[in-house]
Amino acid sequence: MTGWRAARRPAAALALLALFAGCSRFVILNDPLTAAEHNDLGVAYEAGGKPELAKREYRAALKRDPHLVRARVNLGNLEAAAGRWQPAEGCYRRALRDAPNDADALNNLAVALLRQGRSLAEAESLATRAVASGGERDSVYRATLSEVRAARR
Amino acid sequence: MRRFRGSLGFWTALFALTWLFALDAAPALAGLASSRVTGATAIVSARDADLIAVQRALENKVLAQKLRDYGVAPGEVEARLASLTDADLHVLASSSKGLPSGGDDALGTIIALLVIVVLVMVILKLMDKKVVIK
Repeated sequence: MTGWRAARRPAAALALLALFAGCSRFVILNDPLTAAEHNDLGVAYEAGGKPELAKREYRAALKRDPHLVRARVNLGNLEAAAGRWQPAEGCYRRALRDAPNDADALNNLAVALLRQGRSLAEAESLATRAVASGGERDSVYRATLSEVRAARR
Repeated sequence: MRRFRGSLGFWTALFALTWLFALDAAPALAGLASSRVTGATAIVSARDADLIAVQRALENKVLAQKLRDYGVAPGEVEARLASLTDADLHVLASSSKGLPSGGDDALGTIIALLVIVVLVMVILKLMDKKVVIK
């Protein structure tokens, strides 16, 4: 009886493998939403105070389009909001690989470094670039630059 | 009056000094640039996303034909979508997510047919229609 119990899992795995091997190919189930739609749905969930659902949507967006910078930055924001600055930093860095001049990613990476209390020279350079890019969030980027400079003093 | 002036002057000076040294001199707090939409879609709620999912499912030829077989035009369903509750619409959208993206092979076709059967049943139920077998 014990032997059968121990062998149950490998047997199930083998059965599954045999089942999949028998299929000519896997069936990909339809995802009715595009990457941009998943991202925007994530923003709606985030605004509605549902971070877990928002995270699921940002991940779905990135699964459909790994280069969707907006979703990558938004996912980083969720990590940052939970105080997980290191994963947040990873998201912002990855976003900057795809879009080196994305002002939000530059600013938020600077904030992530500032909150971790390290690489402040890099944080200042990032915040300076964010300010230089300007845009509607100029005041946010300036505030970051100001705090980074104060932290470096 | 002199006392009032003295008092007013003192408080004004104190306010000005506080402003100068405590508020203005302190750096503004750094903040994250909040999450943004792509600007490429009109989605502002979960309901919007569910509507899109259902509308795309209704574009499926087999599903549209099945609905017509039961006397329901896909246009009629679309018109009814607006009056569905969020919960009902979400059930419908969740069911439509099972449609395979390609249905050329046998397994894909079987799954598509099963999902379409479920979808037709859900749609008929939501439209208060009954299937009577005679």
